[in-house]
Amino acid sequence: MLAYARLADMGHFDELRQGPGQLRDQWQAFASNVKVPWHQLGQQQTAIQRKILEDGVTYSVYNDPQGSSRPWSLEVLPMLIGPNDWAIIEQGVLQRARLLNAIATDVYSERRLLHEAQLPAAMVLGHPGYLRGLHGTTPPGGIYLHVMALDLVRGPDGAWWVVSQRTQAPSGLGYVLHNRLIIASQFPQAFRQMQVQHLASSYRGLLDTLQTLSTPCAQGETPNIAFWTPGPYNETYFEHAYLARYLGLPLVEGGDLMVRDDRVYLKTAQGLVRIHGLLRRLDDDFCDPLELRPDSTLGVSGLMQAVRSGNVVVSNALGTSFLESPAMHGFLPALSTRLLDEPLSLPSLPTWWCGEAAAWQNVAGQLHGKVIRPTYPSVYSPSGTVGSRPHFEAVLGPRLSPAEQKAWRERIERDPEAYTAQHFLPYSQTPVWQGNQLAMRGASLRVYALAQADGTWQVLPGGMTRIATREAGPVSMQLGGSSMDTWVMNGRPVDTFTMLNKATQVAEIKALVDRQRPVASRVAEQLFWMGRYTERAEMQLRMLQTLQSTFSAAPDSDAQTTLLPAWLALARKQGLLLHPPAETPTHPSTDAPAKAISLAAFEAALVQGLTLSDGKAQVGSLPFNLLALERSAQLLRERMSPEHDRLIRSIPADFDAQVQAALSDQASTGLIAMHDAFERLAIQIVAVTGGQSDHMTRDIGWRFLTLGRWIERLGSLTTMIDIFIAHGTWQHAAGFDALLKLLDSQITFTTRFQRRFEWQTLVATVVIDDTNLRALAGIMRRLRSQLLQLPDQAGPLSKLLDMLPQESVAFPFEKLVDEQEGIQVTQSLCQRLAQASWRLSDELALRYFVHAEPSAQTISV
Amino acid sequence: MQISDFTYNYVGQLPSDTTHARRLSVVHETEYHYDTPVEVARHVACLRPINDEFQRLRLFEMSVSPEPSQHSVRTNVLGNSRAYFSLASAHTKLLVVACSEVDVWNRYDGMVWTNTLSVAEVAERLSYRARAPFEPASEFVYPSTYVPKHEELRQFASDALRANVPIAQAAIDLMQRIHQGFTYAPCSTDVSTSILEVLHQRQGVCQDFAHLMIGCCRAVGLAARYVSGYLLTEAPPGQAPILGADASHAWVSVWCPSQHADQASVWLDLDPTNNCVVNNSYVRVAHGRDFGDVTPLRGVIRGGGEHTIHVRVTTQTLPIPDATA
Repeated sequence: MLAYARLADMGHFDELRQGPGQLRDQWQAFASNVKVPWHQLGQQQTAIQRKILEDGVTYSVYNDPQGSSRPWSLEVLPMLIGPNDWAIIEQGVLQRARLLNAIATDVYSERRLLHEAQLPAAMVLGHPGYLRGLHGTTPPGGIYLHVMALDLVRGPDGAWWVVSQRTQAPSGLGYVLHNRLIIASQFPQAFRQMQVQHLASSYRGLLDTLQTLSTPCAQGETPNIAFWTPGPYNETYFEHAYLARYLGLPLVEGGDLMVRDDRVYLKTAQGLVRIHGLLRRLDDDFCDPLELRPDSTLGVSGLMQAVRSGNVVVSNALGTSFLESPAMHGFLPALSTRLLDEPLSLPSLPTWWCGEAAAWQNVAGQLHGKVIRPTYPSVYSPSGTVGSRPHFEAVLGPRLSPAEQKAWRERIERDPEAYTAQHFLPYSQTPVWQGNQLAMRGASLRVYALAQADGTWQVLPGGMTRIATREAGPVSMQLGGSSMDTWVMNGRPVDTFTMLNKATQVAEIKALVDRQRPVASRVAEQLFWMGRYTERAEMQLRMLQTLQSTFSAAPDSDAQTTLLPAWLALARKQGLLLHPPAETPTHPSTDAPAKAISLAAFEAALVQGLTLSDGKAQVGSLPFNLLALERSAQLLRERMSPEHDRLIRSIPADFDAQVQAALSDQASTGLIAMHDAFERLAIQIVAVTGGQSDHMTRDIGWRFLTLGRWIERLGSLTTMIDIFIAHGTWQHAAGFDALLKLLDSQITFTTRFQRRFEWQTLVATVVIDDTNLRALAGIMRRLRSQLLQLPDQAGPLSKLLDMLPQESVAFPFEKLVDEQEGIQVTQSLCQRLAQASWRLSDELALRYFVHAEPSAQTISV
Repeated sequence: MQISDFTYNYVGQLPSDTTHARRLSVVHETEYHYDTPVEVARHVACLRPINDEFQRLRLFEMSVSPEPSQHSVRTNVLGNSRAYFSLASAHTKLLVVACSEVDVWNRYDGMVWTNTLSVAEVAERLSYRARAPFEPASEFVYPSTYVPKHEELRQFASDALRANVPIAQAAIDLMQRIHQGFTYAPCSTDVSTSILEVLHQRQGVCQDFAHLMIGCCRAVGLAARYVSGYLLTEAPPGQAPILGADASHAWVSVWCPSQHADQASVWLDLDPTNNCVVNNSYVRVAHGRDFGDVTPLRGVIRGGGEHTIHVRVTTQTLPIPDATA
């Protein structure tokens, strides 16, 4: 291993070696347990990146012109923390959690620390994160910090220092898990032999804590806890969905929640469901537009009242962000003595709050050796121009010229409170695989304290190590750093608990299974549309394939021209013809050359509908529906299996690549050229529908997905049958055949009727046969049975069923099989059913997707 | 619905006599009209006048129509009364009427402005040193949402707020400069206008002048707070009409500690819009760091489309019956 490793830079602690040519113990153990040759690490690194892309692990970067999200970056080698280091870290983190929680408690009650001047008022009353509206409110169990994160670094002498503390809604717990999942499987033997601590128990512990704390809010019921995300536009949305799925919590957005009578409810397809605990990833000021930021569209108005009434556990408690100020570090040693009667065991980097005259005098002349940080976060400004406090990215003193240092000194002099200087420390360096060697990179370690219900904390035995992209650069995921799995060896036995095999009581399991998990209205609606887009795309594809085989079959030009009007009408209805062909045949008696052109033009227009223009799909086209399907899957991530999710996400780009390849192939043109692209997409869609019926939980949400498919199918099949009858298309053998193909009913038809192309056999197959999933009667029957299983809180189900014609009335066998009367009856039936499908869709939206209200606005005088 | 959490009749228990008091009645009506029905609404009202030794609240009644589905009242950490109410049924109109009756005394009779600490001494009292005594007034020394810190404010204030001038005198000087240098121009600004824009435009309304003056005070390290309230409409005969009286009014309160350690610090209320020291024509409703803390009526609604707001405030003098009669 040493042969591949470069040296650490001068002045940086070397995580790998304890002396020249001598590996540290944990790296010695790692090296002796890794069986693959070192030079293969590069291949493993590539495999990891591929896995991350497949899993869709992303991290969004604000203001990134390259797009809103980029793949997560993970190193193949883990960061290794041995027992001695971990003992120091664990003790220090536990103490820090106790200390910060005690500070929050004091600040929101007696404010002794202010009165004794242990803490400057500027750090509390002057900090936008101190929420006056919660003064005098104690969170359940007295716990403010259910999750606290500390960023640690190691100095040249090997000592650990705290750089920053995250107390509001710390990110990373999802990435930590996913990193572990990937890296542990890269080095299975090392992971086992080195007795690396597992993580699952800690996550379970957090969940138990929230359950216990919110139990009093539930007054005897089992408490409901939800994971509150700002939504898919958030930089860490991936981990919200990932964590929610792992913890088994519903992923909710502000719009899914509402407050009534100072209680929080989730708007679900089953009606309003009380929520007793919110694990949130939303910053404080966005949480309640009534009392906090009025322009927040992510919050829940009235939440502050619910919190004051003690009706909900918000985790972390609102109002703790003032603890995140870098200026806080300078006061912690004295506060630790004052509040805990203990010296601070894990120190923060030496910090000077410039608002204290004495501190500023000490540090003013030494900015070259400091990092300058803003004391306060950037805040909401009603005018959108001037924030109440200056905000800027941390400034590295050693990189400032003397003139720049002077400019900073003057800037700080004008508003010293707003600035904090922190000691500049060269970070320890740990090996990463790069090119064909081990490069050394500066590392910072994020560790987590998780609250326990008894008011103590435990430290997650692991964490997220972040490294700088360049040597000696600043460490930040926002600045494009990378991450590492973090292996903790603490000398204790490994807790092999997994979230999957907890020894739960049988009764408890039964209760969990029986309990109908609420499905948020937004989720139900997404699922409904996922069903509709799936069906729509499938239908469009089948139509394209039918057209393609009709065109490529021995061209009976007469039949084709006869069928063309019907095809045109259908293609328009189904979103396949967005730009109508130049010459549209309006009358069958147009002269022959024009007809020939029209057929070619029709084909060209169909092909054009498959392409993107300026990277965008045309509204309603097949690529558009594939993208819509992808987007709905993205929003439903926590409900999908990883394979299913991956499949849906790969389709749009894959199909586009196939289409492009076909277009650039000179050998064939028109729809024929798309043969392979269609075949491939058909297989993918079969896999998607298979995933939907076989790999999704069959709860209420799934009913809506299924209903979406049936309603969409009803709408499109009635349109098709209607058009084919209106144009008399079914009377031609080719038309009859095409209709069967469109309805996926060729096999059924042939086994039953061989090739007897008659009205009676047609109507029997596509209308009357209720075992055919693409016959009108078959669709109706399944639609009814799905509707009957919907929750009825929003109104009697019979009203929904009444929107469909009665079965006995709808399919009068005698009349239907009579060719004269049957045609009329079928046409009017098609029209009625088409209308029913629209009305049903509207009614479902009204009953179950009520969140689609106009968005909230804040008004004031 | 009536939210009547306060009816207090102190006649007979009052320590100070009512000879120098003025009895004022205020009716504050706010009416919202929505283009399309509002499905759900949640509001918080900050309309109940303060009750303290210089301002006795005799009566307060607030009515809301349509009937709220729920309401509650609490006093927040700044000492202001806040009424929360929710409307759960569709409505296109909301009417909130707050009626108050208060007795108000002049607070600054006999106060000598030069007896206050100098500007520099006050700033020193409010700056942090380890183990220095905590000043509750420091709540109002830091920048806030509507009053950001800015160098231009400090420059503008520097002529009035000179280091060795007694604070009360300096604050009155600042008020006069704002009154003289700025034009009262209704509708020239709105809630999103920043105080820098006001400083550059040299015009605004009472709220802007209050924010500007607070910003100037804080820029040199003084504590200043925003006061929302009402001003008596009736101008004495022959005098200029009083500005800002037909709506709720806003002014500034500056923290003025006395030179004499045994004397209490005074919050000196100054009205830069009318260039006067606040007297018994003013009714104080709430104190805050800025408008955001004391917004008379704030709400989050679902639906409603466009809306129009009408606010009417009527402030009148009532006769005080002769207690000895």
